[in-house]
Amino acid sequence: MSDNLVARLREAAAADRIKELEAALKPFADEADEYDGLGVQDRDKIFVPLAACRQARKALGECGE
Amino acid sequence: MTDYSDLVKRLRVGTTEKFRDGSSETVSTALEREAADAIELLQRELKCANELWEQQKELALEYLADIEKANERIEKLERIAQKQADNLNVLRGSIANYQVGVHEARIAELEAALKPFADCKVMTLSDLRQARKVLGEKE
Repeated sequence: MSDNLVARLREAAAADRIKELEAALKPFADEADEYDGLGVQDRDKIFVPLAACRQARKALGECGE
Repeated sequence: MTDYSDLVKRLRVGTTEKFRDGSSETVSTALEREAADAIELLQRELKCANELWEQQKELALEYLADIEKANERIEKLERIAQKQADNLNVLRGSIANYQVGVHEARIAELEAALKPFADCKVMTLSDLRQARKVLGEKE
């Protein structure tokens, strides 16, 4: 396999990985949108959906589900 | 090319005719004159055909030389094209490698942003906003 092909395969794999991580991060960004309108302060503790946390762990390759 | 001019000359002079008084004179018959005319005509046509053949041969040689030059040019262009294709291939590899580097940096950034959520520690709104920022959405 040529170096060129290997590099392009790595590039495609990295792009897929970015999509996966962005998808895992998206629910938290959406949560931020929701809390913004509720007058919550920056330092206030907030509830984060457990499913999204599990998905985050899975995306990071930690023991997820 | 065989020269028939002597034969033509003899045909025009004709054969010797003897008369009753013993005198003789060379006269050509109509058939001999016709034959001489035909031979002359054919000789001229043959000469023209030979000249034409020589011209065509020269033209063919010129064409062959042109074709040879064109083939050399094609070979040279093929070598250049192959070299360019090789260069392009190397460039594509370099670009892909560069892209991999950029992607890896982005992956590290995303993983770092995701890590607090994976740890399920107590979150604040600023953590959520950080997630939004990393995704390139509003801060």
